Amino acid sequence: MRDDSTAPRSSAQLLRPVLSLLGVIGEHRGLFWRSTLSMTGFQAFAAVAAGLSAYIASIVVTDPDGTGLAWLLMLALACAVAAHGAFVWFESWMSHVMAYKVIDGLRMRLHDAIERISPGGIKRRRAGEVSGAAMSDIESLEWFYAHTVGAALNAAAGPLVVVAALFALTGPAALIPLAGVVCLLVVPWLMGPLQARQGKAVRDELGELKAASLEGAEGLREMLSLGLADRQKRRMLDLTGRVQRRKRAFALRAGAESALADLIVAVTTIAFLVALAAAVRAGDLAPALFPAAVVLLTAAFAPAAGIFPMFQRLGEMSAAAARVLDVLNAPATVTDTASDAPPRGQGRGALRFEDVDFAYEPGTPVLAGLDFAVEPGEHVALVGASGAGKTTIAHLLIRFWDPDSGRILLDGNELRSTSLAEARERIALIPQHPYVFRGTIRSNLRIAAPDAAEEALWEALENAQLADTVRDWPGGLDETVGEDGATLSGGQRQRLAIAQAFLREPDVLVMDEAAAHLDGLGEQALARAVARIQAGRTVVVIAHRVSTIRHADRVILIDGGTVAAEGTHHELLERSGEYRSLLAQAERPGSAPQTPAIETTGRR
Amino acid sequence: MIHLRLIPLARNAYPLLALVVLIGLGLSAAAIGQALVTAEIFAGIVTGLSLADITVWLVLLAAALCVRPALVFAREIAVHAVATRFKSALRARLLDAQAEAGPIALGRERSGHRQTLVTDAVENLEPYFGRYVPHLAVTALTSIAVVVALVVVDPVVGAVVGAVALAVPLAPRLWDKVLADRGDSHWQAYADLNADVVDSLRGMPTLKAFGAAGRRRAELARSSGGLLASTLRQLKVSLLESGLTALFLIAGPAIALAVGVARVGSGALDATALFTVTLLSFEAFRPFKELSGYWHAGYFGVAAGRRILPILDAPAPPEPTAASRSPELGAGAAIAASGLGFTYPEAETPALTELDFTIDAGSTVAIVGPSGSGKSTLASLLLRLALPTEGELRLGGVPTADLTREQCTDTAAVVSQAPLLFSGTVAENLRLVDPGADDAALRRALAAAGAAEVDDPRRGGLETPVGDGGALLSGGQRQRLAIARALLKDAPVLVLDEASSALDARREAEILNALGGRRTREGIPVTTVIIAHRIASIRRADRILVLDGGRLVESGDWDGLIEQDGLFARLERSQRTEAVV
Repeated sequence: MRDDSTAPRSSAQLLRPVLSLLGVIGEHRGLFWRSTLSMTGFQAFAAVAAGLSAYIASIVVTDPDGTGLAWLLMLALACAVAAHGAFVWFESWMSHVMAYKVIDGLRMRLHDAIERISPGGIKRRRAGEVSGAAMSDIESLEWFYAHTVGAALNAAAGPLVVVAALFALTGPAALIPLAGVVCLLVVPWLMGPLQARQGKAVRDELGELKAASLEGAEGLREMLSLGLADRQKRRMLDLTGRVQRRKRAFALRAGAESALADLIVAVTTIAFLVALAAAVRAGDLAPALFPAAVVLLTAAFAPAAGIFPMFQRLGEMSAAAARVLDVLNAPATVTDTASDAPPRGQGRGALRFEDVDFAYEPGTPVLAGLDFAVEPGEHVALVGASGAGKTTIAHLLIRFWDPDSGRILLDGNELRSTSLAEARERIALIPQHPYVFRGTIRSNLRIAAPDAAEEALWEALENAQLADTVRDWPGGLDETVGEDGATLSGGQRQRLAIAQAFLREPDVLVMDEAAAHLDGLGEQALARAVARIQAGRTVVVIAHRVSTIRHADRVILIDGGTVAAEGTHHELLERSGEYRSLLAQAERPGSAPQTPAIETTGRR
Repeated sequence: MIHLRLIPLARNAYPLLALVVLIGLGLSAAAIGQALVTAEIFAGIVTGLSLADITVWLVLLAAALCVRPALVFAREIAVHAVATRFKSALRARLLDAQAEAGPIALGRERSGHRQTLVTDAVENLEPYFGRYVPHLAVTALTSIAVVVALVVVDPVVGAVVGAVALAVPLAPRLWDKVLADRGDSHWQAYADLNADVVDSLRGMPTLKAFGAAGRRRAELARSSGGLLASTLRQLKVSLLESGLTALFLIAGPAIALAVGVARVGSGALDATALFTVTLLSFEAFRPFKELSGYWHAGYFGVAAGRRILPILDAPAPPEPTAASRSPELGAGAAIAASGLGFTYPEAETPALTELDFTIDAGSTVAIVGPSGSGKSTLASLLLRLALPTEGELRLGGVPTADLTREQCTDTAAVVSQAPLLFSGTVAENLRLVDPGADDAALRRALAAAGAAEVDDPRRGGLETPVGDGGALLSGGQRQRLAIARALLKDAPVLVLDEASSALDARREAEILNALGGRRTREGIPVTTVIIAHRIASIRRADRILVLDGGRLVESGDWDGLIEQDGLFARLERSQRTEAVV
């Protein structure tokens, strides 16, 4: 995946999308603070344990015979050790719960966003692509928010707590560790943009490597038969070399950053040590406190290291957060409205398009002044070249979008003022490539009709000519239809979609006919199922087959987003030259189909 | 232990790995030195020495502290060097293994999955070998060294710290045993839920059309909530492990101190040694803490290694025991199958069943059928990427089992749908197959493949660059260039596996027709096998084999098959009537 961000100039700029998205997960604020504070807790108790240990040792060294106080403090040490363990456990529990809730919350928001924009997309990317990218972004962001941001906060807060304790113990000398900690935190902040650029360069080269690798895997037979294996290997190793050169720049910077951090620690430690020794000499500091203070200094630096993992991934996370925000903020394609259409059963399914204009993107109209009407019960075939706007007409009918201007009327009522639920109850769409959900036949049918009784499901399958097939399966209705319905043939998917449509009993049926499938005997069953579902309903079918066109009551030829001609098949053959040439293409033997006729799912 | 099987994957980087370990040990030594010096300084200050008295120690401390940045920087560079070294070698080994075993031994994993082995899995091994493995060694050696040092200071304290240090890696293992595999089931449940969400996103238009998006969302939210509730309790218990480890790490030095104080009390230990005891015991446990920071590197590395190992071990089809005769392709049957069947490893149903056919030398034969009907599997068997599991396949009269892989690949030239082109010029890509071919031969091949246009003098003729992977050419040009390259191989059998799918049907038919009736330079008639999607373009094939579900359901010439009115005729009709867009 490539980042679409331009080169960032500062860490603040990189943080912006990350922080905006943090607002999105604001509902888990309580969890976030609990997890972050328990991290502060275990870090503080680790510091306390270290400081106490040094202090106990000092007491015993100063007075080897009077170990009473030492044993008392040992008890406190034991408590600090136990508290540290408890906080570590609590923190890892809380951060796991939070990770879960963050990812769950983001997934649900993504679900809502994709519902708003489907089947469209954003920035020229289709909804499917967008959601795929967003899902993997969310997974990396989950790690970032649940396990990194809290550590980064503690990187700043933890040292400050310890420095405050040092102030109490040693007075102004604690300014030295304060300065050290600030320097330590500034280093990754300043390096942030460089880090982000280098990270992006590495990911880009990795993308090239993956592309080359995929080509090699796909063309393995050709590679072997033509003796290209060595050449491909060389290419892969060259690309590996390029990735590694990018990574070297990254490693040099990371190494310099760590070295610089260690140098800061070294200088601070020596300076503090000398200052404290001077204070002891001057009698400003009890000698027994000296070891404790020095050990605490080490404890102050420990959490500061927690900021590095965050900055190492900030560039990547910033780009991911920006992409996710893009999706989450995408506006809805239609606004739902209260229904003033007559309840179902009163209308009979009359459709009318009145001067409808529509464009997915301003400036490139898809439909322009589209005008046509369909009588109740009439079967109309939409015909036209690819890109003429046929699928858009189907999508407007199901209210995936609303017209930019003009009206669509269902039984005389404007579709726009019909609620989405109502419109989709009365008008059903059978898409060209029906989607089959993970689950069973039953669960897929229930998506169309959640409350349907068992008998109703069988009746729908019966009508869709799928009942016999389902009965033959060992699982029957509960047969699993695998990932992406891979176990169903193209024809069976179509028939399952028809069964779903039967369960909805729509007044109007919109069908995007399958261009081709190869299902042996299934073809006839499908034809019977189509005939049944169409009987007694208003039907608008986007036709790809001559037989479908011949059987339609009326054919509407769509060209350039408007009606070019309409009439029966024979009338159009006589009247329209355009229609004749379109059909002639089909009838000419050996002509070129636009899409491969054989299904290409599940390649071996 | 899985690590022992994985480490040899980086065998060519052993010296560099040793260097990383050495640098790590150097860092440990600096830290131990720092602890010892600091203990002296503490003892000095607490017992009332002046700053001047401890100057030597301060200088030593500064030295120890300043060694660190240099070593840390060196470690980053060395880690990078390890990665560079093992990655190239391992990728080369994986690519060789894939080429050796062929696509079939790797199972029916999609090629998209397979490529992630060569890329992602190897990348995931980088932090494993660069950080995790060296630090395992550093942790073990440092802890042992510190424990030994403590034993020298005081045997009892040393023994106690040693015992706790042993418990750090061992206790979680016991914990794992107690919990058995309770953890795995909930990760599976999470994965399932995630798959359901992805499913829902992909099928969103359908959900919207059925007004079911809201319902579906509510269901997902409910099962997500349920999953969280049911796993929370379990998580609470399984995560005790991390608390326990943290407890040991910090309890170790505290216990050492307590024992030390007791030993001072009993007079067995000098009081000033307490600082040494405390600070040294910190160092015994510090490497463990760093190691837990590399936990993910270890986890993902092991996961990647588990996927890589079987590929390196995947067996190629056994070579024939005795040298046999060469395939005779001049006349008779070039390719013949009798009772041929093939079942992929671990597959339940056969991909090919009881195939019987012969393809005459010099003829053009098309194989059609729905995807999944076994067409490409047949091409793999022809190249001897696997041996038939039933019956036999003869190439030039000799069963492929009795031929070497080389004999088979020498005989057949295969062109795939997505051809493999390399950055460089048109001529360079063509000469990969026939290094000695002159320009005229290249132009003849291009012309025969209908690709004369890529030899455009205005763009550089044969020296026109094609871009990486042929990116500067159109899909159709890439395919035709690949066909031209295959022709240069001058092999007696040419297999076009949907090799012209990006062309329009007329163009495709022209090229396929022109490929018939050729002879190799030695005068052997070329047998052409066309695996095709589009029926229209194979009209002139001498014979058409129709596969369905791995079986040969029909065969004959175009007119005969149309007359039979079977699967082929249906296919043809559906492709014809579809043209109304």
